[in-house]
Amino acid sequence: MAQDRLPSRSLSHSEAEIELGAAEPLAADEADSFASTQISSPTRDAWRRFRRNKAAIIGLTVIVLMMIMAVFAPFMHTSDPTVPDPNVINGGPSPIHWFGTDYVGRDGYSRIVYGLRVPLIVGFIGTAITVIIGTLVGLIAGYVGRTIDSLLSRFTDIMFAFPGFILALIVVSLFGAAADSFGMGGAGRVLLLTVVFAAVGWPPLMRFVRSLALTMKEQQFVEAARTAGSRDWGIMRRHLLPNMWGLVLVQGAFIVVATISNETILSIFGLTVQQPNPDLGSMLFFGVQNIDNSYWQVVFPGVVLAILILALTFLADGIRDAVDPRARG
Amino acid sequence: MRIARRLLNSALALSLAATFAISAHGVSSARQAPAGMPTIRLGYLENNPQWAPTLDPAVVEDQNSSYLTQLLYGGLINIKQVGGRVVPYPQLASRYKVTGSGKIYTFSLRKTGFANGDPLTAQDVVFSIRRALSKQTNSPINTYDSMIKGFANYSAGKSSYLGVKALNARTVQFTLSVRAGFFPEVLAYPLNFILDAKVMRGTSTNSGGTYLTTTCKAAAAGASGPFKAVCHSSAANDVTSFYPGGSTPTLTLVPNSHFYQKAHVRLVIPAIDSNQTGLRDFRSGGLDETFGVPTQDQATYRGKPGAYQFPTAFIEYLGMNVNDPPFSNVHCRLAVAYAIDRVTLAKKYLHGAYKPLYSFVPGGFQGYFNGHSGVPYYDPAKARQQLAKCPGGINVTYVYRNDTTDRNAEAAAITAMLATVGIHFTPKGVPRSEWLNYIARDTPLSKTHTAACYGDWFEDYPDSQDYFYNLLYGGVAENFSGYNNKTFNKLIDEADAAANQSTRARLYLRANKMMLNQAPVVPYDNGTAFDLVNTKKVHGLIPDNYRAVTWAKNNDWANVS
Amino acid sequence: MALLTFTVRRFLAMILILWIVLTIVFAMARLSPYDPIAQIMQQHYQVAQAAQIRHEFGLDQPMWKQYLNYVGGLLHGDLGKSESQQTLGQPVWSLLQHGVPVTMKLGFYALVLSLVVGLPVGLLSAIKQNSFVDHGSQAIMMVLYAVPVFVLVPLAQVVIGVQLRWLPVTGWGAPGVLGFKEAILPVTLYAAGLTGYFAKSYRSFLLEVLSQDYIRTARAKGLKARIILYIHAVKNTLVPLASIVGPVVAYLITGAFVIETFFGIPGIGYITVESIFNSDYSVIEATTLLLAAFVVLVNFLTDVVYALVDPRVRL
Repeated sequence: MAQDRLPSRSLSHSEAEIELGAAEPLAADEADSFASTQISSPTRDAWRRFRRNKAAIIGLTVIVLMMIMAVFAPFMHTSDPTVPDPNVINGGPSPIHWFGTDYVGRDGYSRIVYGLRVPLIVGFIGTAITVIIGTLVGLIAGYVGRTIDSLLSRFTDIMFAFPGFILALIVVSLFGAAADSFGMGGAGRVLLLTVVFAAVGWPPLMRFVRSLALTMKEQQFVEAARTAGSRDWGIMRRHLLPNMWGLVLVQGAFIVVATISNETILSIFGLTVQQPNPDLGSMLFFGVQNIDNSYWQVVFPGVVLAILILALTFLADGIRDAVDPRARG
Repeated sequence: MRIARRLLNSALALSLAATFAISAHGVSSARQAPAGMPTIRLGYLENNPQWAPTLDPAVVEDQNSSYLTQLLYGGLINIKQVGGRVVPYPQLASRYKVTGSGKIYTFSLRKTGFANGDPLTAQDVVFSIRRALSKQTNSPINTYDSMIKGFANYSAGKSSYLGVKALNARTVQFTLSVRAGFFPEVLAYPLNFILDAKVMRGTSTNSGGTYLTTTCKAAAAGASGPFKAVCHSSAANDVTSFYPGGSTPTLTLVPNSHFYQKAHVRLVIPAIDSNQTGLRDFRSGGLDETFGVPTQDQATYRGKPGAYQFPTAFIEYLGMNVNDPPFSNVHCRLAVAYAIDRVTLAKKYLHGAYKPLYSFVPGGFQGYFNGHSGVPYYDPAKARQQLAKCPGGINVTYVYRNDTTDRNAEAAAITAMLATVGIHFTPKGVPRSEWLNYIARDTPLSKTHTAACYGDWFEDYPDSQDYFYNLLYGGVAENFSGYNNKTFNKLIDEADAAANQSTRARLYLRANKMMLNQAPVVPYDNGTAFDLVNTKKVHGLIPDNYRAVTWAKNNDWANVS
Repeated sequence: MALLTFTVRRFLAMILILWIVLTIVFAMARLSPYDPIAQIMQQHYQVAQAAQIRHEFGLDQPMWKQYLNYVGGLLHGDLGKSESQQTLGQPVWSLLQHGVPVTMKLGFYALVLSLVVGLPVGLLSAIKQNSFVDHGSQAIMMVLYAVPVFVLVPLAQVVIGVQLRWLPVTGWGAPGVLGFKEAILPVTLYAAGLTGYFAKSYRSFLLEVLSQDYIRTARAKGLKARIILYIHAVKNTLVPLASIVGPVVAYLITGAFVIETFFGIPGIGYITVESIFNSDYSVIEATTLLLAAFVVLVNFLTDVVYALVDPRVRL
């Protein structure tokens, strides 16, 4: 068996992963183990593996804590994050202002607590949308095939050709100020960023899901379902999706990391949420300009951002290892 | 990331640069400075990755180009700083006299030469002025010279007459259509700088200034000022003639040995990306001079040797839409004018990088007044009184350009100050490109239904008229508040026509104070320039208010070592 | 033959994709609420002259005609004319031409540096899996990967350039040794994140190969066999390594923007960021097109290479 699968190693990494994920249960049992009632078994296995992964658990904890902070920011902050104070401009860390203050004397800690909302919203909601789009398009293209596949694949190729970051850069620089006019407190800009990153993130995932679907539809359990008279949509929903959601989740986790990094990179060109609204990225944007004499304006938001990205990476790695144990070795 | 170092708000560019095939003449230029000549690295250039927009003096309208052309070319008149004052002095002219009841200016030329050895002649002057104002050159700023007789028809290409002629090889006469006391200052603008007619005529034509701008030969051979360019390639017709393509734009200058004031330093002027990087470069030893020390870093250097802070003509103000409620009501406007604490704003929020301002023109300009006697100033009690007379209160959006930390800090501070007296401003930061729509394109503010907007100004030419007429005269496009007051307009008209400088000053002062009490605009600060010079190595660079940078003492680079 | 058909088909698709990309970019720039003319005229807006400039740029023509002009120009290699005040009317290509080699050089240096450092670290980690070396190096690589480059850059500039005065913090390509000195800091910081990514990915690729049964069995056979095996395993990681070309290219492009902007390096990233500030959308359009062409080309080449390796892809 192992020998037979050797040639597949010369496929791309993602396709290799596909085989691993899809073939594992197949190799273990006969086809009917894929009946939807028994799907929980690999899920439970994955969860068991995940719980044993310390780094992943730490990552998950950190992210949950950050989300709680962001959601309950009104109860967590120490002073109003938008009100300037001329007496503590560029103040260093102190018992009152734990993380120092910014260029107009606003409290760094409070701004971070509120400012976490932006990367979290853009990262998670943007990714959720991207995952939905990518999975749906990929599934339909891969399963239905033929003309629809060609059309969707070519469309994806087009989207794929745009360097995602550049597209986001252009859209936000062209339409950012217009978006600010909608919604108070920078909500318009956040919405725009979310939509933009959702729009640029899905093509790789679509290709991934498409090849998963291509592989799976040839397999016995799908054939069996088809012969039994299940309709296409039903097959996709009951047989394909449950078998790929773990792998999709892994991809999704990595997309969150990429989205949050890209969103904060846009901020150094001054393109994310505008003043006076708090945002981690814009704190860095202004902090970087002031780094020669007020290092804390970069270090605190920078460290928080680095922790967030590290935690997400740990989590993503953990999910991958749990869902797809062989990828780890 | 990027902080605009540019203070100058340049005028409009009209001409489309046309490219001309220029045959490559061999130009021998000194690539090596004479041994022992010290090199000074100056941080004058804000990095526009494309090089200074132009090196053609006739179309200069930005700071970068202005600095470089002032080093390369001279004018009949130039400007130097004596004490704190900015004074015109004859540069390429040795002297001049005014006759014909102020309408005829006669200049005698100095014995000086172009970098290639050609002596300066009256024909060069006539050529340069006629070229600068011609229809072909299509200079966006040629209206500065509109007082020269025949200007309108000549610049439109309808007539060949222009009121400038050579009386003999060393004498030039200008005839003006109106009396203009500020004509010498106008001649000091790069528009009227002198080019070598022989060098220029050797080129096919030069409507967009391409030859002057992108061909180093012109700046190496035809320089009439203290320096000439060192070329990277004498064959190329683009920026690579100045510096290797793909490297940081850098201009290297050596003294023009035929200029009457002989410099003895070599200048290297690399483009600097931002105030931050300029400062870092200076601190790491890469620059001997940097200008525009970031606001937050100024306190570190203030008072240290080689640190110079000096006033500029840059003003910032808040403009209100006088055509629509709430600011159609003078009490509402005055409430705002009384609620802004200029001192806290300038000293604390802006770290002393700006000075509190109550007058609408900066210090040194006619009509300026020190302090705040007779005009609105910070007084919360009065602000509340005025607000009580403002029907419906004030709850509006405040548009400002958010491209620098300073602008954002000002908006945050103003919003907070107004809030304490009960005026509610919602700040809306927009990029500079969009801000221009509010203050220049779709003016007045009533057109965009905007109640209040940030405004700033830097002189196009050093005269109060530039501020009062452009920004407050009824119906002028740049007047975004929409202020239109007959008395004010009349005072400005009178001051314009007045030949006597003290009369002009009196009229402008009256107009200034009268307008401020109606508060269509609230000026709140005046920018300063903050430069660092490595005084251990460089001598003779002093703050220059006119050029808003540290510059050679008396505009004489022989003083710099 | 199948390979040839495949290549031709892919090539035609590439052209089609580029055409659609440029159409989208064109539409976005024209739909944007910004007005390049207002930017050109700065604080002195004059209606008549604005109309004249609009006319000279052909911006007063109907949209379809502007589009045809744009596409027609592109076919003649004309990327358009600059619409910013400083460089008004200059061909966009003349602005970008010197930047392209700079960006490529910078990216190439960074790529080489990160491969040279990242792959051996990943290899070492995989061989010494779960050892102190593994955990230590992976922790460092993880930090390099996770700390945003724009936090790293100003810190490095302040500490290394300003405090220690070891390296210059700005300038690019000045002739002589100086040019090399100026490149050290930007290239190192550019490569930092990529090094972390390579080390991390390469470790897992190698572990994946090493975990296969036949290798596991062979691994037990002794040192000499193990060395042979490692060589074999490294060979087998080449293809999965090719699969991260996409993310690496994306990283290089993003990094170019950040590094060039921070260090004032006159590459296309920096030129584009400047043109965003100047609302010079003709430059932004051109850069997007160039980068999209680059990405499409890389994808095309990757596809062809895969097709060479694995005939099944050619279908």
